[in-house]
Amino acid sequence: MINSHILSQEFEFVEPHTIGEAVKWMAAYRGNAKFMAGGTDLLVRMKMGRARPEAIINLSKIPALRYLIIEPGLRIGVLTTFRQIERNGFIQKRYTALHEAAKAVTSIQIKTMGTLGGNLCHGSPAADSAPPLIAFGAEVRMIEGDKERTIPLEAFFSGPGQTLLTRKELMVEIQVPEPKANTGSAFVKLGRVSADLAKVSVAVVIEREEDFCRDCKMVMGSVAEIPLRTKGAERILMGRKFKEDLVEKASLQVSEEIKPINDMRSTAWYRKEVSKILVRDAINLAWKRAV
Amino acid sequence: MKVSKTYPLKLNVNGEWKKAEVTPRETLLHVMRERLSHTEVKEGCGKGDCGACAVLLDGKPVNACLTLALQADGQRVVTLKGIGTPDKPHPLQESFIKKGAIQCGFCSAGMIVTAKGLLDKNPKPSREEIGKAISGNLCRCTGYKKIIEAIEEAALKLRRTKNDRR
Repeated sequence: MINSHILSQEFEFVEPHTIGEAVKWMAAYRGNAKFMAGGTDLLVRMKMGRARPEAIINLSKIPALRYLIIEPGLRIGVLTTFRQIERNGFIQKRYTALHEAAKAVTSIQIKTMGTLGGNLCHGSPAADSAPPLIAFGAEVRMIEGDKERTIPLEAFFSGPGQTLLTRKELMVEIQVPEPKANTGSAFVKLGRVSADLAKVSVAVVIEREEDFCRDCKMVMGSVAEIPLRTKGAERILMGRKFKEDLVEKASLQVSEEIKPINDMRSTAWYRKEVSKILVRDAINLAWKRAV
Repeated sequence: MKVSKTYPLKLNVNGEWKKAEVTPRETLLHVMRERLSHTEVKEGCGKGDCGACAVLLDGKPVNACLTLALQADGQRVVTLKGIGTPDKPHPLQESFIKKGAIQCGFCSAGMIVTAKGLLDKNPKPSREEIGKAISGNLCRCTGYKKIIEAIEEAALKLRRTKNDRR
């Protein structure tokens, strides 16, 4: 089934040129269509019979969804690709964890087509873009009909493959606040090979004030039903003088907080064990970069 | 049986505009192979893991198996044959042959296309950069050492020819 040149299901194909047209089409299909950005996730799901939309609404002809504005926070149109994020020097410098996550997404071919919006909207707990974006406090703007709402990305995920998006809603923008001065960040991912999905991933954002960790955000991927903020571990570091034994304590706390599962990529036990190491490395990296 | 609606498709394949009427279900891979006879675009896994179907879409490497033909409408597609032919091989193709970077040959088309995408952007890639660039292209015969060497050698040759022309 998967080796199909032709998808096994029938569907219609529409190409709106504005956001307004796109949401109108979705209403016309009563929510039974799928918005497509790069298609790298959606087409695999359709080939495997996991998604059966009546129609595909191709978003790629909507210029109003393809932008990356630095102002000085980030405004990211949902069609922005991983390749564009990876190659942006400002993001590499100020949002290092996001740069590293884009870098860690599978292959050049997928990064060229795959978008941040698509990655988030599939709701995978392994989505590489989710941990750094949540750690930087990102919010997402969504449109349905003439209604619009903006919610924190942290609240966006509701279960494996599930998000707060309604069937007719379109995510249009990701907004990321400007990091405070003296902030450093890191994203560390472990996969079987570099092009694989994460067994475990972690993003850490640390705001430093001399020897003190003023603020800390820590978000992990592939360790729970949704990308998970490990607040207990954050609290261990926050407001304290940065010391090796605190990092150790935070990494042990993480393995208590996460709720990983056994699957084809790893056992729950392994995920808990290896999380300690990844978290320790990510904290130390973020700290070193926070100058 | 419900008959799929067809849509007009226009593609610039290796410099030549081609037209076809396609259904939305057809991937770019299918249209290239079955409609336009470009069988140098190979199908391996069909889900974006192996890179055998890589083509350059507006100059950037993508997997044709995960691209609907209609997504590529109006764009430039470059395949292995657009990079070089037996009469006029590209330095990448020459160095793949010379270095023995080909065994069964199934991955070579996608590998060379991806390498071309890299060298167009970065004429002097490090070994690490080459490795990263082809991380989405799987070879199950030779391993990657010879392939990386071949890309390195082609890059060197291309830089020399460019300098000679100056």
